[in-house]
Amino acid sequence: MKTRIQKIFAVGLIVGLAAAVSRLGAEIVTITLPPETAVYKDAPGVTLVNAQCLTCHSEEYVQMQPPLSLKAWTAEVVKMQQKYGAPIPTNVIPDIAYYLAVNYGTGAPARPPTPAPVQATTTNQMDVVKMATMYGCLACHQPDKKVIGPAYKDVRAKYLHDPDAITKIMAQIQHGGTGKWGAAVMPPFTAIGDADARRLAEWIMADDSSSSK
Amino acid sequence: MSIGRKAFNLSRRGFLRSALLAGAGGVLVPWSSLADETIMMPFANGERRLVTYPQKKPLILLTSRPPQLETPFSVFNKGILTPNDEFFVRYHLAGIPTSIDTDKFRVDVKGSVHSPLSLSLKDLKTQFEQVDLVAVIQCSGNGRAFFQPRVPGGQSGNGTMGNARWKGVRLADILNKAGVGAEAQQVSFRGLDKPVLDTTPAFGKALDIDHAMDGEVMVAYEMNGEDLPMLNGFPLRLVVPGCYGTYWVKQVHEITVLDQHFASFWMDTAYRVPDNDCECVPPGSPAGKTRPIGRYDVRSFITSLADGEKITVGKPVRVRGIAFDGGAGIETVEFSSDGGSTWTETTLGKDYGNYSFREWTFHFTPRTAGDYSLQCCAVNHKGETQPREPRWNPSGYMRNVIETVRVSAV
Repeated sequence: MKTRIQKIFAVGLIVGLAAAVSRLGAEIVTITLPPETAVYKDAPGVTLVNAQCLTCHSEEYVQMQPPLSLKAWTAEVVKMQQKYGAPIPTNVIPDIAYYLAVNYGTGAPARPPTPAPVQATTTNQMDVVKMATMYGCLACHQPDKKVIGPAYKDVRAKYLHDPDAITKIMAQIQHGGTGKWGAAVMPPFTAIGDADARRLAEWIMADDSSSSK
Repeated sequence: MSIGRKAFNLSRRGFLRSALLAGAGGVLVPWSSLADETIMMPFANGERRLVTYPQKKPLILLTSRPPQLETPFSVFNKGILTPNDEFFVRYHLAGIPTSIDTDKFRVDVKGSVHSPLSLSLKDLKTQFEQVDLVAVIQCSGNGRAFFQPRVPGGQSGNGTMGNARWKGVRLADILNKAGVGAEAQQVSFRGLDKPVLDTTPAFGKALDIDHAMDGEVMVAYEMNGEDLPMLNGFPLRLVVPGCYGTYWVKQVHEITVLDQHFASFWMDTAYRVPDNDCECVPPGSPAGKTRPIGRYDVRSFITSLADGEKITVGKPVRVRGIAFDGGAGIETVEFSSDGGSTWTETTLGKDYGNYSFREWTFHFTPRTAGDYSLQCCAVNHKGETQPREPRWNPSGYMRNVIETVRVSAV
């Protein structure tokens, strides 16, 4: 792997001189952050948590905490919504807090078997736009404009003539990545299985992903 | 203390590997080969990976997006200045700058000023008096993971602090050049880091006008004789000597003089401490009335010995450590080998100024075999010192209890 510090001297100086005067010369300093590898524990509720929590921060924000109670985790999720402006629907806060308390906390009492709205839906019959929303794709991507990640129309343009487009986009979804579209890091969405990743990739590459907005 | 013996060894091995890799392959230091090193911090859920970030040696990974990296505690025994490539990293928002064109970078000075400025790095280096200062930067939550009961937040040991020689320009000189209006109350600062979502409060901090004009606050472009590392604020950061790191805005590019209070989540809601003399509340209770966090309390550490180390009966050990405070300067550091029952004054090292780490040393000879609870306690020039029992607040800020290192003599 190449060094992650690239210094590009924009002025035409020979190297020896450039080193001496670089502080006053024009210079572009760029770093590339290491890939994000942490993922949320694969357990009931992980799809919801990926969708709601990965937009703004990596999994370690949760993982490093001391074992917190359901009450403390609920307070944290509410804080994310109220103080940090996370667009978490209020009706899923208990589901997120429950997942966190069970998997990263002191546990939680067994819940009555009321199906959580998101987890109970099977994805194979689901409208693909709804699926993209559920997995949190649309928190960072829009069909036709760059938000945090690239617009789907730009992804489509990039891969339009690439025979491996579907495989590459599936890999990007499932393993995440950085550097292809700028500094923003896309976390790995390991909870998205092959079938759903393929449907999402095919949808992104189809023209209707931008017209369906 | 913050890192046990095992952690000390592992972090050293991490270095060795990194050094070897760098030697063998020039600049090649693959992340993956270093990513497997882990250390165990001495608190529940304390396993951490050592990860190599750009311009950094392997550091303790707290979070990757945005990056939060802790300095392995053994680094503080290397010298009074903390190396740039081992300096801790703490961002709040994931939209961090990763590329800077030094030709295009500007810091704008605006608001209630007579003549707004837009200064390049060259302007800063040529139009103002260049000053330098050795100063500690410490996270508000340094040592948060030692709080009992535990509190949510960045779970760092005592390694989110560092001491560096900062070079730059006095903020007062910049503000005087712009000409501060008579009604000015505060000066606010913004960096290039951005929230992911528009709904998240953008990071920004403010100082009262008198503080901003005190001639000590500076904008620094150099740290320990080199450009700042990108993750420590390249090309320019605010230096607020003696005050918690939250004020040291990285990649500072907007300085705004305000005729009113700076309204910001990061001042009005976050980074606040109980508004009382001890800045503390009974463990487990709410903060009550709060005020913005301010200056460092007095702290001191043993750096030459870690928990669990073995020393030899009858053989003198040169115990070494560091002490610092919020700017009054360290008057004395005392040492105890019996858990705080008896204290002896130590020898202070070279004085790098009131904002720097101050080295202290003490020759200790264990007379009998057994366990020893080693402690140090500093007093500053104002007579302020460290508490025996930890002070608690719900945000896990401002830890400064007398720390203990447990060793055995054999």
